[in-house]
Amino acid sequence: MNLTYFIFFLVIVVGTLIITHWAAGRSNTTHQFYVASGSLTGFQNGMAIAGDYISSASFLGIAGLIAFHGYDGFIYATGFLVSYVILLFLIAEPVRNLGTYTLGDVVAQRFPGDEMRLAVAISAILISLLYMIPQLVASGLLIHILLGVDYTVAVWIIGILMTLYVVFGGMFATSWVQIIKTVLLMSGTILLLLILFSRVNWDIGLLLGQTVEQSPLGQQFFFPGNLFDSPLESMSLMLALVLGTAGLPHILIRMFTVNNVRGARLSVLTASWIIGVFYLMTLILGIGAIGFVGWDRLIAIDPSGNMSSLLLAEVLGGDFLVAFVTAVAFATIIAVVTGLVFAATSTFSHDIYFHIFKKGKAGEGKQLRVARIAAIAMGGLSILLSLGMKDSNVAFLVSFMFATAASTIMPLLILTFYWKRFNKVGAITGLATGFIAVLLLFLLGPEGYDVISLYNPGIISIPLGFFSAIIGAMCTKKDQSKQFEDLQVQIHTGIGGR
Amino acid sequence: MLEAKDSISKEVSLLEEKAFHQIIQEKHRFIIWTTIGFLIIYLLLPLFITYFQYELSLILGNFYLVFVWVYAFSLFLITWLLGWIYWKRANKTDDSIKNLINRKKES
Repeated sequence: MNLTYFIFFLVIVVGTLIITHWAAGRSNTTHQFYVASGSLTGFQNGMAIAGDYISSASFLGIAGLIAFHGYDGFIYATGFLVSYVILLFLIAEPVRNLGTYTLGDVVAQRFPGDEMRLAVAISAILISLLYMIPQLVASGLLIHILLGVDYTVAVWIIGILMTLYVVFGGMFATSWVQIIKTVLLMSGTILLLLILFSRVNWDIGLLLGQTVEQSPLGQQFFFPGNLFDSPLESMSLMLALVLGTAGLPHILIRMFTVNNVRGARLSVLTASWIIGVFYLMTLILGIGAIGFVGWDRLIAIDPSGNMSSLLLAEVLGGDFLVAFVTAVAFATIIAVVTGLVFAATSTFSHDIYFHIFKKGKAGEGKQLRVARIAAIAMGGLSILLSLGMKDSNVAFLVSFMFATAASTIMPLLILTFYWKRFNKVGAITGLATGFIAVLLLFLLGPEGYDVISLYNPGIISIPLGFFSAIIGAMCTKKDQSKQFEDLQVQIHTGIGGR
Repeated sequence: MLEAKDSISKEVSLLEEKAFHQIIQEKHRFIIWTTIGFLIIYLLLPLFITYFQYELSLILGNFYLVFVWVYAFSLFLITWLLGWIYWKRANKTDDSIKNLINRKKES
């Protein structure tokens, strides 16, 4: 193992454990544990959302996609950013004003009762755990390549770390690990960019010329059509990306960590700026990777393109810069998986244990104890699943989970907040159909039995999720409209909320 | 955010207030139409580029390259611009509702 890499890796581990120790003293009540007492500012929470959202697939994968496919790789990245318009306009405020700790709380404001809470809780846990698998698999493979640690050991290290942060530090530790990751990620990317620009004497033309020379695509590198050749697949993927973020539980529960709706708005705005600037920088990194590292070397070392940024760092700054970028990648990984394990934990302990199993009658101490046990269980389950799915297609699983979130939780929230005629039957029908649709399309698709050629299920499953919820509601009796009116007051004013 | 501890009776009276419904309707109109417009720009244009790539490059000639990159970068600008517009409008909506509640309290 390279000693410089190991030292940087150790700094991140020790730093985040110190944060967890600090956070442990501030996680003594459920309000502190689940939402950090709502004490984050909008700006801090925006940084945490960016940290929660930008995965290693983005940091390493998008730069690789751009290096290999040029323009289309960049268009792929825009999908992750534009989804924040939907989140800001339609979802963030109602979630903040209706919920307390979980998505179950949000939906229960309109549809009280155990069945609905259980349906939302199961959906949120499934999405969080299934989204964690590609993240942990990618992390295990990455740490294996970077530090020379065995894949199984790498997954256990990351899995144990994420569980420790959640068990001891709750939302405080999760948030600050994510904030620090964002600072490291942005500063690391800026540093790479500055060195890259100085290498070409700040002459962009020279950089672009080098790219055209090195890429087998030549001038075509800057034109569309190198990655997306099927309009149906592109449309399906883009639809899942733009709508999926608004259905990801680990992003949505971050709205509870600020103390008012303006804070929630500012959080999403800040996150959109950070994520946007990050992807713009990734474009330059991708172009720089092909220009400086060269196609042959990129392909020879890693045909998936995930090592592009690291190889660029090696060319630009040698071992030391690679060690720094590796540390940033490691921080990126742990911040995302910690957010995911936290979302699954809070849903299980608050919705299933406290509300459904204990009927809202459990002391603070007992709730915290169960939350910590749930964190260990969720962490352990994720580790075991990731070990068993080492050979799964990471990029496919990530886009698949965006499609799942956009076909289930996203339609549920939109119709709950904005459609008066919606009811509980429609809500449960929509969730169930969304899940069944993505599962069937997965089984029948190229990654399953290869009966149909559709790789991205979103274009079928998302409309199905919406239509089945609407049909389910239309075919059954209306809920009380007064309840919807009250909900509108709460969504827009917070009156009647926490 | 408006204070959560405001009583239930005020919620009921707010619901009876025509001005409150107008404010909410205006907000909904803005977010729904802007979202639809934004989704059309985001989803249909790339589809158009994929389907009519050859025809477009013939029509636009050298400007085709400029066109596709302007489109990509405009997605960033539109996202940030819409965020800023929404921030301004939503804060104004909050203030209008707050004023409405204050007026009701005084009366």
